[in-house]
Amino acid sequence: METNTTPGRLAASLAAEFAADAAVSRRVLERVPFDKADWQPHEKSMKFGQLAAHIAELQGFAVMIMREDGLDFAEREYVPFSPASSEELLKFFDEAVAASKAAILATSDEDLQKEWTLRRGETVFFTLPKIGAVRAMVSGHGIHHRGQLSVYLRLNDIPVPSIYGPSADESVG
Amino acid sequence: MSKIQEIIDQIEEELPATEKVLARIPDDKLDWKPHERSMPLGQLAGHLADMYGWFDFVIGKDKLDFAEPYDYPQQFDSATLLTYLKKRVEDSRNTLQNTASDDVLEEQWALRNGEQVLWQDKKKVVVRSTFGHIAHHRGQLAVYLRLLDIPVPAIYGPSADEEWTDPADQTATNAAL
Repeated sequence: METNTTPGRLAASLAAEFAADAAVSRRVLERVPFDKADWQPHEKSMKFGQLAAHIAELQGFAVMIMREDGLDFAEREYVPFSPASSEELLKFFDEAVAASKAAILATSDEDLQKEWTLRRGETVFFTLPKIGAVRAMVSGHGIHHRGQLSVYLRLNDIPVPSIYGPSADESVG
Repeated sequence: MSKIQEIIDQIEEELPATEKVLARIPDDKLDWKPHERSMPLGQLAGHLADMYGWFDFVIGKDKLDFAEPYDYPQQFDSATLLTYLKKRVEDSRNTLQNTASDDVLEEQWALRNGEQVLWQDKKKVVVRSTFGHIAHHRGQLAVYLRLLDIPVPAIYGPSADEEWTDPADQTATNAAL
C-alpha cells in the first residue's frame, strides 16, 4: 500500500497544499489563550480550548485516510483530544501535521484516487477519492473551524492574524 | 476524471451546506456584527455568495485587479443572497465547462492592485485557496448564526441543533431551506 519511492506529482501537490494550510492554522492556534479555555461565545458553542483541540486533531486524520478505506463511527469511539496548555496543543498539532504529511507522501498517486468512505453503520456521509477526502475532511473541515476560531479570537479582543487576506488587525504576510 | 471536472464536482458537493447557511440569514440583522472590528452579517454573507463565482475569473482570466471595477451588489437580503449565489455558481460552472484542458491549472494567476502584485501563484493553487476561503467565511457565518440564536445547520458534521446527513442529500437540503 505504501511505497518508499519518490512521491508522485499528486501526492507532492497534496502534501504541499496541506502543509501550507497547516502553517496558517498554527498561527491561529498559537493565539488561543488557555486561561480562557472554557470560554464559549454561546451556551451551545464549542469551548475555546475544545475548538482549538479539534482543529489540531483534524490535522492528523490524513494518516487514517491514507492507510484505510474508510471510517465507520459505529465501530470506533471518538475520544476528543483535550489539551491542558498551549504547549500541549501545539506539540500535538506539530506531530499530527508531520504524520499526515509523511503519510500523504508515502501514498502513490494511484492510491490517492481510491475511494474512502465516511459512515455510521448503514448511513454513508460521503465516498470520495482519498485526495478528495483529505481536502474535505482534513483541509475544508479544519478551515471551517479555524474560521470559527478567528471569531472567538476577535470576541476576546485578541488580534486576528491574516488568513485569506488582511484582517482588521494585520496585513498579509 | 479531469481536474477541471473535479473542481465542478467539489463546487456541487459543498453547495448544499452554503445554501443552508445563506438561507438562514435574517433580513432584520444584516448590519449586525459580533464585534466592532468584525464584518457585518450581510456583507460577510454576500462575500461568501460572491466567492462561488471566483472560479470564473481564476480559470478564465489571468488576474483579478482591485484597481478595476468589480460588479457587485451593494445590498443583500436573504432572497437576493440565494439568487446571487446561484448566478455566481453558474458563472463558474460555465467557464469551467468551457475549459478544454487541465493544462490551464498550471498557468500563473495574479491578484493585483494596479501595478502592485499582491499575490501570484499557479491557478491550481488559487483554486484550492478559493475553496478554503469559502469554508473559512462559511465557518465564521455559522458562529454569527449561533450568536443570533438561529439554528446552525450541519456542515462538516452534526451541529448542536441538527444531525448530519449525506451533504449531497437534496431532500434534507430542501427541507432545511
